[in-house]
Amino acid sequence: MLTINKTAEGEKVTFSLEGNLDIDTAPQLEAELKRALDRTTELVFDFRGLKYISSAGLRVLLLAQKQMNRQGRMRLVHVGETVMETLEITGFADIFYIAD
Amino acid sequence: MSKKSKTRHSLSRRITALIAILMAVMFLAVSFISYRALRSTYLRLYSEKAQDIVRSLASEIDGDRLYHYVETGETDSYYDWLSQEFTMFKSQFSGIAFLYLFYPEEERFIYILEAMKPGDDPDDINAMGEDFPYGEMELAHLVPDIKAGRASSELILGADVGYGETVSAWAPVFDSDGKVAAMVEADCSLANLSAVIREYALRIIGVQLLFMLLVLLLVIEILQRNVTRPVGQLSKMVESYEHGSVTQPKFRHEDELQMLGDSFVEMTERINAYTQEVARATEEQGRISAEYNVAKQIQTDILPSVFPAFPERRDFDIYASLYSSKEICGDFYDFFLIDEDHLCMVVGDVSGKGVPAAMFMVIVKTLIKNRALQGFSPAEVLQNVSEQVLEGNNAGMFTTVWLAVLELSTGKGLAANAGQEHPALRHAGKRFELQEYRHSPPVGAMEGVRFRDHGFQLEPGDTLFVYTDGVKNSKNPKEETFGKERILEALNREPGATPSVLLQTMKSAIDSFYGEAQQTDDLTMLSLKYYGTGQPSDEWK
Repeated sequence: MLTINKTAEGEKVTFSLEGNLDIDTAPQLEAELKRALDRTTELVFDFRGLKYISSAGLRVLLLAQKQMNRQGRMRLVHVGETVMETLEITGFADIFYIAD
Repeated sequence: MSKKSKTRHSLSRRITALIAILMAVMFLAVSFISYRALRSTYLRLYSEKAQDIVRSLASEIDGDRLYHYVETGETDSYYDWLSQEFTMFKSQFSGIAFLYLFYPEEERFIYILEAMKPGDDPDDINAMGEDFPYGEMELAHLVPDIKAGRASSELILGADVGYGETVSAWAPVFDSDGKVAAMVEADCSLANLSAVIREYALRIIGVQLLFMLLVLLLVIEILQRNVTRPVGQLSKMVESYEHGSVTQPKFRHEDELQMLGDSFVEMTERINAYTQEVARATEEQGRISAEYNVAKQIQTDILPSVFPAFPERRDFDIYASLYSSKEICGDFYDFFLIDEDHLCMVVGDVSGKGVPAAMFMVIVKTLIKNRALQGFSPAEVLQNVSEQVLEGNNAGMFTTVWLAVLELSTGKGLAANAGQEHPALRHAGKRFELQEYRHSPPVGAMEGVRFRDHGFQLEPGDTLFVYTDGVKNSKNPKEETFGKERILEALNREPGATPSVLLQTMKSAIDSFYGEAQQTDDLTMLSLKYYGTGQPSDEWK
């Protein structure tokens, strides 16, 4: 189960995620991102409510990161302990910009 | 096929037969009724005619004169005149067989005069004075009329009393006192009449028959055109469907048959479309499951599965296994000797599932082995493979990899961890612990990523346990995660065990973790026990 809340301020878009980002819910996020990223130069993921992320979710974030690398920047904020551990083990902590 | 040809025309035949039968019944009924009606009309006419004759004759006769003939038996000129009159009347009406004048007594009647016309047989004609007793018919009908002085006024059928086909009529002759002097009687033979009636009836019946036949033919033709032929066309159309397409018959009238035809054609089109769709889907399904089986087979075949893998080597023991759930996963492992002194081990997990993941896995595994066999360090290998994968990778696929090269003579090793779970290491005599160091991102994830070599040292008796996230992140139906604590706990039950035992222990631990439920995650595990140059013995436990 994943709840996605999107807020946009001009060219900055924030996605707040609640729940699990796994193989079942990743397509949902991917579809939302496709729609939202056209004129975005700043993409923020708020992981305050995110409990768990799997490799399927990481893949979606990776695609977003690659796109934002071309048109602006992306960062993750409020990353919880479990998700952080996953990011570190998978080495994605080196790819994403993780801020507070 | 014979069934079809037999039933082909039975509908039209049945309807025709039915109509023919109905018409035949109607014909018979009408014929019978008209014959009877005709006959009774004729009889009545005859009877009336006979009655007219006897009455007019009777009224002419002078009754007083008749006694003389009865008493004396002599004839005179009046008698002759009477005779002529009678003859004339009889000749005029051919239906009369006997026309006579008689004198009624109590129990018999005496002929006074009987008409004879040319052609009559003299033996049949009675002469004056001949007498006969009354018969049944006379007693029943004639005598009461005599007594009452009445002319007959009803149809008296001789057939009713045994005289055969006759009709009789009579009329009294009165004398000047008003007494009945004699009776005039006419007996008509119906033999002629019957012949006439029959001839007439046959003519009428014949016409009827002809007319009915014509009507029958007309009805049949109409039926043929409006029902039989269209229905035949319909049934032919239905039959022809067997061979694929149907031609839509066009009927003259836009009625239910046309509708039926149209509906049928529409239905066949839908069936055709549906059949094609099912065939396509089935074929595709077959193709998919065939592809699936092939991919699964490739996956199984491509991973080294012969154990013990290096039976001639005593310096190490290695065991690996992959338990996959229903779908094709991207997990893989590999191990091979780069040369006599160097062992290479790989454990990886491709993102995604299904055939694409399996194909990507095969590519990566091959690239890694190729590069590793050339003697490059783990980090160099992963760097190179990652670059190659990124060059042609449009699907955005990546894979976590743990790659290690171990120098077997010294126990010195290098490992690079690109996104894999922390391996567990147990030093001889101690317990398993997770080896946590900085990981690189997965292979093929992003350009510009740096891979790092991490050095380690194995002493004889040390055991390594590597696993994918399917093991650590297994969730049972209660939503609990297997987790690193349970991994370590299971490993440390018998830390000195050989790699195959360790893997089995871990598998059972996970199985009981799942309980009754089915395993839903893919479990990939690899374990290495290093003995070094010494012999494997209890000491190293």
